[in-house]
Amino acid sequence: MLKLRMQYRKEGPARYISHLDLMRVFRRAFARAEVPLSFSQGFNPHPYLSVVLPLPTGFSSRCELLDFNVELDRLPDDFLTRMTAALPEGIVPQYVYLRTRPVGDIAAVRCRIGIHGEGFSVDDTRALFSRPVRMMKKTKRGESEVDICTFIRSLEVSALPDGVLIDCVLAAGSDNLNPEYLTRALDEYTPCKIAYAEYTRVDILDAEGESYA
Amino acid sequence: MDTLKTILPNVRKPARYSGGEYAAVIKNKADVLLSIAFCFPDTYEIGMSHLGLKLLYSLWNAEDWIRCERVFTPWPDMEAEMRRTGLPLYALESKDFVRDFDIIAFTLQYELCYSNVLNMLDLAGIPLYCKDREGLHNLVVAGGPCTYNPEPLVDFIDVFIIGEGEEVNLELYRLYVEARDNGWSKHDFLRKAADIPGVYVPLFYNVTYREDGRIAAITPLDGVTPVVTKRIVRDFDKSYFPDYFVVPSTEVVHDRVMVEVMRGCIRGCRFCQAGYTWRPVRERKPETIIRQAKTLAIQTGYEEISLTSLSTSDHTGIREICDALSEFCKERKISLALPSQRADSFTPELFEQLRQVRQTGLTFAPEAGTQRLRDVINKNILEDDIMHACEIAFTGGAGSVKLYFMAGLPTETDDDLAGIPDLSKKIGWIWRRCTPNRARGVKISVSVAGFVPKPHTPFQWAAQDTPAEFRRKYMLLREQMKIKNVTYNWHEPDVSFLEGVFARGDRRLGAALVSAWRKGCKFDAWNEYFRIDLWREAFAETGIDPTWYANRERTRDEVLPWEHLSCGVTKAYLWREYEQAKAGITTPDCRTQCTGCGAVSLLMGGACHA
Repeated sequence: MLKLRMQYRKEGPARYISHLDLMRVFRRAFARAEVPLSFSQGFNPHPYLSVVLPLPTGFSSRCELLDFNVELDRLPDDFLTRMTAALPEGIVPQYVYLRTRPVGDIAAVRCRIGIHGEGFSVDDTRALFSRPVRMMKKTKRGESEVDICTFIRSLEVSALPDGVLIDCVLAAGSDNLNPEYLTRALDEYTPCKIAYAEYTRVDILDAEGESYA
Repeated sequence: MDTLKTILPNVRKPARYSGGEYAAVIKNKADVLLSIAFCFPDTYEIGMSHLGLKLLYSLWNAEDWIRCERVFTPWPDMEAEMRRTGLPLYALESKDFVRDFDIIAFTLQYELCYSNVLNMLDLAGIPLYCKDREGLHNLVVAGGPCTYNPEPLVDFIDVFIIGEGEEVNLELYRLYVEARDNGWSKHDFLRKAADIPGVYVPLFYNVTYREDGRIAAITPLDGVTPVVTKRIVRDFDKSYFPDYFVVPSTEVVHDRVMVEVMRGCIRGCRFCQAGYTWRPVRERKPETIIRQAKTLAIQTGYEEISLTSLSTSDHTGIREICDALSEFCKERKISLALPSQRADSFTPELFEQLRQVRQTGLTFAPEAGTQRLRDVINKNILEDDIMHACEIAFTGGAGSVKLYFMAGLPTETDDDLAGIPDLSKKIGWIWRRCTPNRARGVKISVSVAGFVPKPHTPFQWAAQDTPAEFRRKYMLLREQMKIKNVTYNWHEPDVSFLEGVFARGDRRLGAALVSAWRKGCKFDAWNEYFRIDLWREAFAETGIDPTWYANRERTRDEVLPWEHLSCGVTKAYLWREYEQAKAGITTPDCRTQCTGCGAVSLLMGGACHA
């Protein structure tokens, strides 16, 4: 058995595939690519498949990681080609390697938030996140008020024709922040009118700020 | 499409609207002569579960001159976003607007989707009425089981396809391309189309009414055939079957390989429209079925293969097929399912084969509670068969069984209904006697649906129970169904009523349909959107008495709204069956003895496989 990790992009129409649906998509893609996954024993066998850091539905990503085990001693040379052909449009495998680093090493994610609409200002947006921003946040123990800036490791703002682009590094792992809170903060604390927002996960980082993958 | 990315974050299950699924067919517009928007008037999850859609989608796209794309009904949250942003209905593959397609092809699987048909045309920005669509662009075509009486929709649909669509659609579309390239008028095209066997163009049939509201005559105009007879695929074994399915990226109702093993059914249950309209019986050869199942399992990566037909265990080669697939499935952890399982052909070997990979539930449809009533409906299944099948399943460790019944069947009495709890109780006893593990418990779920008389069946003349009568019966049962391990549920009576109205409706219902749709009726098959109050208003405003359509028994000599449409089974045969039903006399299945329904003539000298 090989314990593997695959990095892939999730973009275009595939953005809208939910985490739960994605598990089914991968399972069938492996079957189509004729790569034998390892199954759990028992009455209702399940393949071992795990997305390292589940991505909210609607987000794009250039750096998703899938952990899986296969019943092989060696991966076929054309594994990535076969998987790419077997996956729906927008899920594009990039690398596959033996899994060694524990998931616990993940400390942060870098993402881009494109917020579109009217009445945005780059300076106001920067200023907003340079002070504490109190918001109600969902946690495992219910909702509580937190300063979302304590989850922000770095943040840069630039202008878009109809809005702002936020490039930020946010805490991830056990204590994390969904980037949608930044959009909501902008909506709550500045006079802008948001039409829609687009999110792209760019990188997964360890505690040193290096790429985790 | 820019609007789409701004609204998809606001709707539930956006993967239904984004396309890009595995094996979806993307074609270059410049390379084709004809574009077809294949519209399924229900949700993505329902439509993508439907084998007919998969079959025709692949068949049309296999033609290099056709580009066929899928369209489903957006759920009301998506519809609201589309209307708010002015985004018209679009097709999933290219995101092109439906109004830019040559052909708008609907499949009509059940009467309660009619309001969705209108809503989809409106969302697409296409005029609802045939008369308002000039020229050949946006020709609206419909096929599917409802076309055996499509009269309530004749104001909106230009052309109906009666019967199996594989061959006749292509003939129609070839004629369309010829007509368009040569600048024919819509009227000239439709007149030519009406000469294609299996094509019904309502424009060329004039309906007149008597003073009492019944139809006086249906008169063919301009020399068209007086009776449109359905099309069938004569050599079913060699007929087209897709070697690929589009695999949805989000969960749908039936998410599995489906292989059609046979068309038609030997049983002759008198309530069942499909049992008559799919005649004559034609089997696919075991080797063909096995090959198709394996090909699709490998192409899709699905975990389940379903061998579908109206009664799969009646296929003469079913043992051979199951044996051949069983090893293939085991290796790949694929489970094999046989829907439409008949209790009388259930064996321990079959049960073992079906549950090799995963435990599957068990479903039987006794339909009626007593033998007397089962004889009336010709559901030739004995209580002993049901008990025997349950014995096998429970002995093998099954922990649940589903039972389907109908209420409101012709000649039904309260004693017949009382047979439903009796049967449920007996099944509970059998479980206690046979199960290897009493600690695990059993779940017996009993569903009762209201009977809806359908065209082209012996009960096409029968009166349907009123909603009040259905309600009385369901409540009566509710008291009697308080049995240990048994859960009981029933179908909404007003839904069965509306289905009954439209199933045997005529052209005059079109006005009520438009009125109800304008009031906001849509997704009538979905309890959360079904609004009988709005429907009643619509009927009242258009001067239609819906009970006249649903709850009235017809006489032998009445001209029925579908008199000019034939599925090959003769009216005389159906009437004889109706009389036999009322007398409680059963008709043997077609394999035991041919009873001369008439459908064999469609094979033009070929033999019925029953």
